[in-house]
Amino acid sequence: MKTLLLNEWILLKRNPWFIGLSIVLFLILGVTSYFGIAETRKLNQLEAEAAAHIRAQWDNQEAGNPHNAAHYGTYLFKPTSALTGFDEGVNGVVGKTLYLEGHRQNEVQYSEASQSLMSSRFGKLRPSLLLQLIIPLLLIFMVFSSIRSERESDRIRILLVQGGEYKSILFGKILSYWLLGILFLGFILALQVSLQSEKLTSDTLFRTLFIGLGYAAFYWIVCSFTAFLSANLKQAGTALSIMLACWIVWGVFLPKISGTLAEQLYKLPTRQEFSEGMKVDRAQGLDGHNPEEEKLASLKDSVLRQYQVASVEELPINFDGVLMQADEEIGNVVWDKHFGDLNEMIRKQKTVTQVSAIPNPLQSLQSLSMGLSGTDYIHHADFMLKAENYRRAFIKELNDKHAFGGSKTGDWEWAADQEFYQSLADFSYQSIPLNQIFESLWSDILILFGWMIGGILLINSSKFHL
Amino acid sequence: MSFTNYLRWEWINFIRSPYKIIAVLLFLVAAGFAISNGNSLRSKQLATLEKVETEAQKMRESAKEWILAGKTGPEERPWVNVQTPFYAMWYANHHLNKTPSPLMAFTIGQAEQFGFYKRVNVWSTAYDGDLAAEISNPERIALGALDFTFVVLFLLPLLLIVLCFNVGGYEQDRQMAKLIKIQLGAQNPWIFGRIASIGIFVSVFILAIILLAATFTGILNTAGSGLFLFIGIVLAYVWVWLLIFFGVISLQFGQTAQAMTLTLIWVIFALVIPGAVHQAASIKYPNNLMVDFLDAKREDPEAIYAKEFEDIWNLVAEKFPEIKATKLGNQPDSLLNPTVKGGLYRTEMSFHMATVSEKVEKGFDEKNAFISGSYWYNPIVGVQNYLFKLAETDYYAYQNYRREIQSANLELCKSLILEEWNEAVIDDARFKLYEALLNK
Repeated sequence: MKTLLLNEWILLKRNPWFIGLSIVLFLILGVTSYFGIAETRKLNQLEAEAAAHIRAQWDNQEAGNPHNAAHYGTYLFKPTSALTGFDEGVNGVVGKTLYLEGHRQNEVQYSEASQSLMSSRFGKLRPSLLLQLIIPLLLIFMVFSSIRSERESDRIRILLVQGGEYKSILFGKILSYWLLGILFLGFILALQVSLQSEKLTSDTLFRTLFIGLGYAAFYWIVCSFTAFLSANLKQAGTALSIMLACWIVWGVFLPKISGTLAEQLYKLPTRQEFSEGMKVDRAQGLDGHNPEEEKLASLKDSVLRQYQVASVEELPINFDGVLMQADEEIGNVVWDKHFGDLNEMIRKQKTVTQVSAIPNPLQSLQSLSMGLSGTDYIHHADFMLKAENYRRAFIKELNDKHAFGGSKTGDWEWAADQEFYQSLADFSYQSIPLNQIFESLWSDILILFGWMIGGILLINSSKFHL
Repeated sequence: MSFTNYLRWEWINFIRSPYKIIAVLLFLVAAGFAISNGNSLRSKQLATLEKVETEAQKMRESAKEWILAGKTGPEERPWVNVQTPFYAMWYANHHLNKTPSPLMAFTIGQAEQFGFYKRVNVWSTAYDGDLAAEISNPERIALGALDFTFVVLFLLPLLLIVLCFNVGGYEQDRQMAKLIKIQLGAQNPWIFGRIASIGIFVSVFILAIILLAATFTGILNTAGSGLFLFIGIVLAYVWVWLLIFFGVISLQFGQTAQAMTLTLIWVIFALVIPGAVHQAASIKYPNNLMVDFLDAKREDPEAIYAKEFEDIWNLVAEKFPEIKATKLGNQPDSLLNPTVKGGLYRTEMSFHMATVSEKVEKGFDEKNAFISGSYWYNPIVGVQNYLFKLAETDYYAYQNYRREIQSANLELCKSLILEEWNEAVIDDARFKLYEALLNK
């Protein structure tokens, strides 16, 4: 095996075309890694500046009524994960700016994709794009040429006569080119780690490691299947066509088809239906600003009973604040139902696309890569959930201040001081811990593992026909 | 060899190659799926717009009933008074929609990134949350829409590679190339004849797909000359690729090297260059978090409303001199009620937001100028964005829509303030006038 490996590498070293292409590829990989990380840094900086600016506005607001402050609200900026420079995932299309206000749950706005003409159909030239589409293409051509040249020059017979085993020869070739893929992969991952060494956490390091394992598995699959077809099909053109077709179908065709099919299987509501549904459910609850008599009476009775007084004017607290919080809590149930259903539907779509990756290991790799880079839907939904939890706590503090801060019912002129507003905690986002990420990625891992085993079995079953 | 013979032999060659047939069938499936996608998105948008319009109509009808009955509005909203110009215009309810063009069936483009209907009121801006894109799975959106334009611009060259890579290459590998040269005198005309034959079959195939799809989706009559321009560009695109292929194949590398070279060309023009331009544009013009706009929306009103009435009057009168000729235009300030004064501040705010929006758009335009400046070396994306433009699904179509929203807001504010300052009395006829004015 060692001799086979060395022999392949010597042949590669003597091939000026390969050397030239490798240099170009290493350069492109290096440049894309650098630019990916540079953009991530720039975004982090912009987000930090914007967050500080918005917080300063919040902190510097004059003493005022807490409910007015709830309407003034605040903004959050979705943080860019450390590995966005490696795989951008959904970050380019979901927006980063989120408005938090009383009475309603909002969505992130102002995506990068909505701010310019479309400049590419396969995303930015990120390391993930090169590693998912271009390196495998190179491996297909390399493995194919290596095996076909052995067959067509009849060197294979000499190797067999000399005592070589056909399976071992194939494994040797697969291993040689797999290692070549690993070399490119290792170079990129090492750059990812070293270029952001000042901010490197163990979480990022482990994520990078698992990303490496995923890509390594995929390269094994590509090399072994190309080797199998090249070794077993009589016509060179047919073998190459099939592998090229696989590359096109896996990389370009199936991911788009399966995503669209999943959306057709689990249909999402239109924005109009979604808003209408929430409006209808919301109308059945209490509206803090315009309470209906019956719903108001029930809340009022319970508060009056609690404080043992006859009217809201006699309450030692501000009933308006209690009413606003009751409105929030009813609203929260409605948002939980509708946004929860929506999230559930998108997760079902994700499951469909993950399962539909059974004939397409590249799609599993793409899902794994996004997931581990912290840029998939699961991470986006996690940010949205944590931001919404923060909004609820934030608005509750404002309503509680309104209710229990010292004002009386109907006193809308009462003002909470600036110190109170400054005392409200700022939002800080912690991404999903690594161990929890695998809960949504196990099917991708399983599919990649299955294909890897399949590749080994196929090569094991290969026999040379004289 | 006559051209008919080229066509005949290429056809025979094709029907005897199962993998080529499979490739064509796969392409056909992708094209069918893509057109069905585009058509379904278009139908969905049209249905949504119809619902939105029905809701708006209901609201207008309610307001008319209140006016006729002498009521001020719904009982549960005592503050509403449709007898005033403000609420009459509020209920006259103006939606500005971006109706999908017939060509959206072929070109979804960037349509899924933007909202396409919006109720315009006196506080509307082009960046409000209610103008968000339709709800969709972000992972699917990140992968991009599978529309017919994608199939033609990105998959068709791959199909051409499958159909052409063995032209001349097979003969080279089998060492028959010289034989052809001896028989025909030169090999290049023979290669050209074969590639041209493939080109003719592919052109007819694409033309048939487009015309059939246009007939079945009902856009053949509605798309107008745009459809023929679309067909012309698509066919020209096919032949440009074929010319490139002819250039590569005439170098006579052999099948494998030809396949590799042609694929490499595709990878460079479809993946690497567009990806690099996208990345460079993002570094130079990163995602705008819209902080300037947020400031304008949150902080600037405070500064405007803090101004003296006289200052606001001067500012508005300068930009909108018609205000001076209104009934209350020459009244002393002390006689004006807070509602009419407030209207003036609101109008100044609208003027201000129009200026801010234009500034935001100009910022985006710099990035677009960078992207469109790359078309000479990023031609596939150039063609793509031209096709998007034809189908009105490109960035500029939605930018124009945003500008229309901002300008509709300003026009609404101007109309309202004229009515308020002329102390208009609302009756059925006046309300109908508002309806006609706002939905013009």
